[in-house]
Amino acid sequence: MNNLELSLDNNIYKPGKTLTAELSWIFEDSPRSLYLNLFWYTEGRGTQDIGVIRSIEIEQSMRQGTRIVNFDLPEMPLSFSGSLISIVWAVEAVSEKPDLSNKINFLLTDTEREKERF
Amino acid sequence: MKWLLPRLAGLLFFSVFSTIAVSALIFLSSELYSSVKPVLWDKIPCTIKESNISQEKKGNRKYIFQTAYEYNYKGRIYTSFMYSITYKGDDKLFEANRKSTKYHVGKKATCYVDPSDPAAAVLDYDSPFTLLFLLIPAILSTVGLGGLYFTIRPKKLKSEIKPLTKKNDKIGIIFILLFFGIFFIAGMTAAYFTFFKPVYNLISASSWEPVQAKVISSRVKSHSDSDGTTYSIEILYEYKINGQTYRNDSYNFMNFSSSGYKSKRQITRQYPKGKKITIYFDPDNPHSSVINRNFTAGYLLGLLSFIFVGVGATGLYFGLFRRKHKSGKQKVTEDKALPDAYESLRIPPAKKDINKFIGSLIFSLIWLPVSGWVLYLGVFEEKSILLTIFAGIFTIIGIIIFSVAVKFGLRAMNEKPVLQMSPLPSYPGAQMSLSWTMKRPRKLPDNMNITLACKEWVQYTRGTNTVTKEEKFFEELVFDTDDRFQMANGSITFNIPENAMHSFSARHNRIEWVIIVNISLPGWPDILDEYNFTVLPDKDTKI
Repeated sequence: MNNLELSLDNNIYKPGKTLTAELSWIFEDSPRSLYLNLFWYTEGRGTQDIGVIRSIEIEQSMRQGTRIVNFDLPEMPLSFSGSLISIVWAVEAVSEKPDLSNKINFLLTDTEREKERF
Repeated sequence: MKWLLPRLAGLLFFSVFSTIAVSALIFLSSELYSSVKPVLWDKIPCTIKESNISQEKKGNRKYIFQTAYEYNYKGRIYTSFMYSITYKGDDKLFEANRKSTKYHVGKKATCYVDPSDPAAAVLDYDSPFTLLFLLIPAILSTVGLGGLYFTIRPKKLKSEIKPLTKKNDKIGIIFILLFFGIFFIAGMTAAYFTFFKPVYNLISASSWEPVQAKVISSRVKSHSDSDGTTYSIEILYEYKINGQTYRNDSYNFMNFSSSGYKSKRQITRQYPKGKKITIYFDPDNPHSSVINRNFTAGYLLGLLSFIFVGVGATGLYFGLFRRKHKSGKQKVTEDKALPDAYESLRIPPAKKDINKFIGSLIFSLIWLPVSGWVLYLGVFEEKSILLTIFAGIFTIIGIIIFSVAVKFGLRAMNEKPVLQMSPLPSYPGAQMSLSWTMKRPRKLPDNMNITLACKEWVQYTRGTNTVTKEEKFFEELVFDTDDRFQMANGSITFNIPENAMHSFSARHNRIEWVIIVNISLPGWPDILDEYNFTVLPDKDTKI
């Protein structure tokens, strides 16, 4: 039974602050690779764009483990929700062989909520 | 359930598409294989016993080369009457003549014998290159089955980052290659048969020698099928070279079957039965001859196929080269997603208009003469309603593109206002100062207004097209005047909203802040220019 779990310490962050992610996994065999990625991506009408801010490789040999990782968040782009474009921030854990992924979205905003059309 | 309808539609479309394409592939494979398979048979010497030409009395009255030849296969003597598996006759007497001369009575030739049935033999077979025709249904089958696969395959849980963009690009490139590749190949094939080959023959015939010939028969041949009736000129003539009599029916090198009876009838009337005429023959191959070796407008008809070549080549260039070029720049790495230059107002609008003007002008100057000439042919020479309508549509499209070119040309001639703005880059809540100067325009303006706007801009692919779409989600008129002095020089202040979203620039998605200057010029295309500038998330944002 393979399992890949991910949790964040919050779901709204201000630009420049620190995000803490906790990753725990149990695999039947050692994975070929295991990454934790901090990135933004677009959703909506346009072809998807992705900007990876940080990609951390977790030790490959371990079948089971837990890691706590701190990411320094950038100033931009802020989370946004428009009629054609949404900018979404996420932390994602990805393993290869077995191919598993687990993603958690969060808001990067300087106000209480994401930027919306006004 | 939202995803179900497009999937069902895709499933239905690709099922029908791939069924037709695969059926065509199977049918064509079988047909082409049977026409080419003698290449695998045994090559055996044979002797021609009969060689003559007959003409069908009904239908299209084809000329049929009839032969009989004997061959010895494993100790037994066989006689075959088959020229080739697919041979059913020739439209042109010249073609049948050539076969008859090549396989004259008594000639020792080579035939191809089916080892599994030695009684079956042929003198000739279709070139294996005809198998290349399988490429078209093979490509269409790949598109259909590929579409079917991508429609029905289950969606796997995948990482957002790694595969997505690259895979989309690959599929897009394959699709572009197939779609525009077919256009290009079809255009080139059509160009070969309708332009290059006839023009090559025309040039070759300029060195042919004249000889007296006698008209044997003269008529307009009709060809009827489910699409209607078409006509071709058929003037059969006879001439002697070194004591040997030849017959041929080649009027010119563009004698394709087409609509338009009257113009062809006028020609055949000039060549009544029994008339002595001068024809031109190839000294190296007296079977080759032609009545009319003059250049006529009809030879330019083949230029139409270059429209397909052009569409195919342009699609391949922009779809592959430009796309590859762009993909090379794409990077999924740390990305601040801001425009490159953020300390100034951007976009030189005049340059854009000039580029559009030059592009559309060149296009229309190539398009219009070709379509206009074909229209002329349709109306005055071919007198064909179908050709006139067809060429008329193309000509109207050319005129529209030309008028667009004129509009861009006039816009490019407009004097552009010079803008200065500060602070740049901007930020939410900033008080902006904007000033402008403008030289005296070609026409006196009657209104000028300036708008501050923020818009979403996206780019995506729909089939093989790259589509862009934009939508303003904030718009504020910051200046509006009918006073020409204020239009020439002026300055204003305005505020960026406190809760403004900052500028964002990725490859396919952007959020852009713009100053839109609209100057209305009576009787002339308006000045409507957008000046792009950058808004950061905050005054203190570090870039």
